[in-house]
Amino acid sequence: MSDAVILRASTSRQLTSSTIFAFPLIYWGLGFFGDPKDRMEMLVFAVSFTVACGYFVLVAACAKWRFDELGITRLTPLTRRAHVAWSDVRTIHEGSWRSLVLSGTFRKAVIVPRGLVGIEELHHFVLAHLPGTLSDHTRRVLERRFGAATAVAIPVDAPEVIEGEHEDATVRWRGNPFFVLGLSPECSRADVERSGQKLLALLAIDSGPAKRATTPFGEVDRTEGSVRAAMAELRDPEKRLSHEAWARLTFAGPVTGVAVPKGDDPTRPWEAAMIALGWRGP
Amino acid sequence: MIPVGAIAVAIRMMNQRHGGATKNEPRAVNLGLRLLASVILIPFTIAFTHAQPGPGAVACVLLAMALLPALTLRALLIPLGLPRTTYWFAFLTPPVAHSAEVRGGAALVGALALGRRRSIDRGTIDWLDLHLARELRLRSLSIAAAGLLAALRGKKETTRLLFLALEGISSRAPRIARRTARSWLVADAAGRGDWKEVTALGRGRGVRLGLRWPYAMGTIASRLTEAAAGPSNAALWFAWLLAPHRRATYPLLRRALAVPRSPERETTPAAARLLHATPSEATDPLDLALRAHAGCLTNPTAESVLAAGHAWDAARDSTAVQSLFARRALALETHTGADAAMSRLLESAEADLAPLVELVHARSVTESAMLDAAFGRAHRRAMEEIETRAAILAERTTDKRALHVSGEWMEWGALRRHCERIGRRSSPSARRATFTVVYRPACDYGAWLFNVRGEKLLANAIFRWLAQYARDVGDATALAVLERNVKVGDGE
Repeated sequence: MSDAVILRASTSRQLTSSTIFAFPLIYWGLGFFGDPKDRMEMLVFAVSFTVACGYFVLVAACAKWRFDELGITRLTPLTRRAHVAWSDVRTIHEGSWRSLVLSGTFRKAVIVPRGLVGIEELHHFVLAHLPGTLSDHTRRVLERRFGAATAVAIPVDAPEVIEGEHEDATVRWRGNPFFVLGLSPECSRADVERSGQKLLALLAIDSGPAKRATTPFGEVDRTEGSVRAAMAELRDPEKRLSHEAWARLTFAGPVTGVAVPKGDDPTRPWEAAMIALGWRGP
Repeated sequence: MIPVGAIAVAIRMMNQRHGGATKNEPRAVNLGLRLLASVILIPFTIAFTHAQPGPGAVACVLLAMALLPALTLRALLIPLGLPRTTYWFAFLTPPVAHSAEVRGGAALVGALALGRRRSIDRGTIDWLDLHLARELRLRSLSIAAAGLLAALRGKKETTRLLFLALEGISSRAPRIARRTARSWLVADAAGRGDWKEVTALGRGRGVRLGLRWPYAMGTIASRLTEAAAGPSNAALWFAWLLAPHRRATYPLLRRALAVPRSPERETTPAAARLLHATPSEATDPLDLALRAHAGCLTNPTAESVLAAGHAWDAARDSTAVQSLFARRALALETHTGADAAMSRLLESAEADLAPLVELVHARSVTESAMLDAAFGRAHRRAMEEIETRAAILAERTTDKRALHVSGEWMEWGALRRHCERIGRRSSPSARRATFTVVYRPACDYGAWLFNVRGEKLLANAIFRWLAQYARDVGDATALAVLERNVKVGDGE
């Protein structure tokens, strides 16, 4: 840390503290509705109340601290305090209202309140440079609050892979070379070459019908790449035999499932389960 | 006179009862403050009501809401779907159960209220997330809130893992966290049609623990999946009557009641029905197998998977298919021959069926060689997954590499899910093997979480689950260690 860091009271803190002035003013204002004899008495009370509270208001609203790598200083008006060197600090723990209490060889403990603008930088600094002074509880609290100085990762989400859902096994048919080339499994090698070349020529002139191949699972895109890959697959006898077996699925229209009417299956999913629970979210 | 002294003594005694000698027990403090507020405010409100009946009635309602926040949240604010109001109300007047993690509890009820809305506002989700992030110590309520917020964002897998981990927490943890987690998991599984999961989640003493809806759903699911061995009609009606959300659950109850509770349904070979229902291609076993296979991939149900398994068995044994392969291998002049090609085909089919075989009843799996092989493959894959996850846990524990708290819960949820999936269907020896793989890494991981990271609730949940598993497989040595660990506490 090269420069000093200044911690100031936040605007909300200043406003909250300043509201204390409003009470005597309101009280004094109310006097106008009462007996005029009481006005002076109420004014005196209001002024004395303001003076009495003013000290605390100023301290809270004008809080100002400065710290650097050597130490920390309180610059707040009326409660100014001499520079405290980090080397003199022995323990740091969390005080009431989440303040940080620094104690050590100096006479009176230093209490750094929370709610100062930039207080996170002090916490980071303390975690990184003075871990030995922190009590276990305080260290854990600061680590949790700011995630600094440890390798604790930010919250992560699980990858949205639905457990139990299988990979798309229908790719055996949708990518089957016989269906890509529009051939039957019994075709000859010459048929493969002829059909492949014909499709490549049609794709080269951007023929619309050639761009779609029919499979038992509906139509799929046909590209030059897929045609060339299909031809290469069918040139290898071992691979061709495997593809032949899968391509023997006769189809009179796309496969939509076996003959189990879904509406009658008692184990069909119950889509309204979340709604039944009162949950309308996604 | 206000018995302030008596209330203070009561708080002190409750603290000592909870072992809080040095630190106030949040629940005791909450209860004490509530008592104090009751004693002070009730007489004033009554007097005020006598003086001014109109404003007095409003004051009475407000006081009742403040003194009974759990009821107000459950009966009024959450059903109204007002997330921010619900959050602030729960934050300012937390129910006693929320005392230990006020922000987490408030975020949870806020998320529940948000889930009641038809349109989900992402800004509100972010707002709740932001407030949840201020909770220093994420425990059951905060984890449940994080799970619900993930669900609202559509990240269901995250929610599943978090809620699965919450399943095993101590019964001393707030009931709303466990009820939310289990109810959501049950609804999610029912929405996916995973009735076996619903049955497993619905087991237990649901009525006593306030988990009546999951219990009723488990009973219904049990009838749907195990018609013959499932519960009777009377048991179904009883569970439904005890549970909340009766009107919404009624259609499902009707569905379950329509399933005949007779042994015929189990013994009728569904595969045979399907095979004969398939038209003329029945003469070609390979075509029949391919059709059944394609059908089971597009519509994976117990019956379609069983049909595919039997069809592949028939194709394997068919001489016509063998001769077809031999003829084609000869014509194509392959190097490896017809048998190798057929084996490759059957292996591919087995790989496709492996993720689906869990839909079929365990007894039916053994009737088909193909399904048996597919089950073995799925089991091996699951065991590999468990070994990998257990090894990662062990490595992280040794290196003391921490994840974010929600990450730790999810890690455990994922491992637990894999183990339970295996445990539900496997033989006792396979379950023992699983326990052997998981026990040491998980136990060390739990000890690290407890001693070093201070995540006592999660650690306790791990020890509880392991102890249950050790009891199932009969490992007395491990059980003694784990029971001692469970007794150490859950950080409540």
